[in-house]
Amino acid sequence: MKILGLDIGSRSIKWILYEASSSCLLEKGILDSTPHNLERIEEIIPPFDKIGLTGYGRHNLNNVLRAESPKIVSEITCHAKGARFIEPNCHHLLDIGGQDTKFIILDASGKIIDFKLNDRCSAGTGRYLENMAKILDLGIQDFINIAIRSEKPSNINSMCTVFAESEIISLIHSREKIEDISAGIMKSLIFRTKALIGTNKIDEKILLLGGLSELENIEILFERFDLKVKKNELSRYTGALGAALTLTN
Amino acid sequence: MMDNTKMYKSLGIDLDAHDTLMGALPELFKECFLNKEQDLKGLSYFYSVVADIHGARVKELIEHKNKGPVIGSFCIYVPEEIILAACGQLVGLCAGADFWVPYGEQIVPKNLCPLIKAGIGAKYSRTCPYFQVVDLLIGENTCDGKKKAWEIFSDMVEMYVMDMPNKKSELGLKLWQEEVKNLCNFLEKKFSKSISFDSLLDAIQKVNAKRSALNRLYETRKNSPTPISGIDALLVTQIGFYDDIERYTKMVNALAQECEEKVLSNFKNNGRKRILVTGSPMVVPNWKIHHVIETSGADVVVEENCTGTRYFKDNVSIENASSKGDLLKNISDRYINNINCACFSPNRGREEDILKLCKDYKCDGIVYVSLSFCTTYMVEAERIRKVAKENSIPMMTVESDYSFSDLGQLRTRIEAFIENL
Ligand code: SF4
Ligand code: SF4
Repeated sequence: MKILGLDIGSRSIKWILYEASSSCLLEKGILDSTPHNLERIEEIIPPFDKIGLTGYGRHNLNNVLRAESPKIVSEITCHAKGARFIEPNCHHLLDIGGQDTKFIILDASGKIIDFKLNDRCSAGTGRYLENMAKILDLGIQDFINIAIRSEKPSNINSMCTVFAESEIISLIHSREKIEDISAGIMKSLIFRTKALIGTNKIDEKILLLGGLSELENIEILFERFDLKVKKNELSRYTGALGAALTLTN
Repeated sequence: MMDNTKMYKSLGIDLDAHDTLMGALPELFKECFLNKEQDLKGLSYFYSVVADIHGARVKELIEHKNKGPVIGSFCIYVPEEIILAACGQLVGLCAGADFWVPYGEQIVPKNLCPLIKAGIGAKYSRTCPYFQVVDLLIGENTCDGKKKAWEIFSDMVEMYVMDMPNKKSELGLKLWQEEVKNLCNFLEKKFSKSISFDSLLDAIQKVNAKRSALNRLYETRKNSPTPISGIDALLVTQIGFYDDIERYTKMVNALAQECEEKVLSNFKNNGRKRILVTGSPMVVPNWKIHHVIETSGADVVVEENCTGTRYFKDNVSIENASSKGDLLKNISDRYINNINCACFSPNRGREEDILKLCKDYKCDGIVYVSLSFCTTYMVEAERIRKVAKENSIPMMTVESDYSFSDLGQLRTRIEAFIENL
């Protein structure tokens, strides 16, 4: 039986086709959450027997797809299930997503013990990085590459994305090096993430999920600011994979 | 009979702004209450009260002014008995609408809890007939935000402030006993009504009867499945803050009886998870969290907050009271000893209450809801989290205000919490 897991995020739509009998991943795909894509979603996704939905659009898209008894599950549960599948020994997950950041702790059996989400403010999310890179006139991967070169990351103190923008602009005006500003932006994102993680004791590398996990060398920057993360080639798809897996037992 | 517009004009209401406010309510009410399955006839009374929230009851209060004062309060520490005994009507002023927050923010800082901002905004915008109808506001020095807000209110309406201890010590108890006595004296003088032993006794009995009726209703929620949804029970309790006490008590008792009968007739477990909600108060029309929890597949079966069990859990004793002084003392004891508000430190009683409620109501999890910037409840969450953990009760903390901007996030978090119970 073919199960489709669909993760309708605020910035992108991810899907995974999973064959239940062989526990095999058959296909995967990703596209931007534009109105155009959302409208023709039926044509884009492969045929399936059963479907699981997660992500911000999980409740809305259900009507469009008119699938019979789709399973709708929150992305926190799905990420946990998906991450368990790809990295069975990892107990700490960090999903830096389009509009929010999630930190999830699993016990030895894969059950969620605790999870945290950033509150409202977009600072500390993938969107924040994107916006800040844009101000520096850099693509997101270039931004990372440049940040790595910094020896003296700038300080960005603002808690708010909009104010952080003006802070960055004044750093540009005061001729700080672009690599230092870039690294400063990363530093502020990582510090915010650490605040979310709180006092939880972590002995292993945290599995990084979401869009950031596709960036090369991003782990180096995390490590530089004392947060050890690792990636998996399916990191981006744990939500979709988890949505499919919720239909398997 | 006055028509509403004339009545609003006489109260000095800003009619245009008021129209905007009232325009939003039906949609919200429909979404939260009418779109769900509900089979209790007794609820129709409470639904009709909300449907006519700025109508019939306001008229009654205006008429009441011929007999006695209408007095507003913001906290369940303000003793209703004494106000009733002075021929007054107490209205708990709801400040649960996001509409008022921007008005409030014109006067007070943004980083205050929405309850205070909405309260100030409601008065300042002149869009709440209840705020307009009151002769006097009674404030209480619980949290810092409110303490200072009274000073701002006092420019707009007559205020009387009760001081509060921070500690439930002997000394704290004494302070509160004095404050209760002072309130009694103040009201007698201000409204030239003497409060006698008999009038006080009568008032105590009325309020006790209201509390007992609510207790009876909440008792039925201990059953699985609960005969009444959490959001409906919340609504019923919220209405208790401003409805006519005797009529309300009768209606709650009738509803409780219907719930009792329902429990006896169809007793099939629905497998839904049972949630205790605790934290800051949820005043009309703040139904957000209950709505999200209950449309995510779980039932709220009890609330440990001031619009829940804290409001009614214990009665004022009338045994062995032979003088007005005795009664006043019993009133102060009931309030100070039994309401476990986070403004007290330490506040161990609340931990015990929560654990006991979890047990009695067979709760699978706790959703701890703090209004944004409600410092005392936000900080106290940490202790409660510890206690919940020690007792293996899963708990999640939510910090939110009255706006709907975080609905998506809330739903994600709450669904995930319920899925993992
Ligand atoms: S939470 Fe505390 S201050 Fe607020 S209404 Fe309840 S008792 Fe009063
Ligand atoms: S909700 Fe919290 S901050 Fe707001 S008035 Fe009540 S105790 Fe004070």
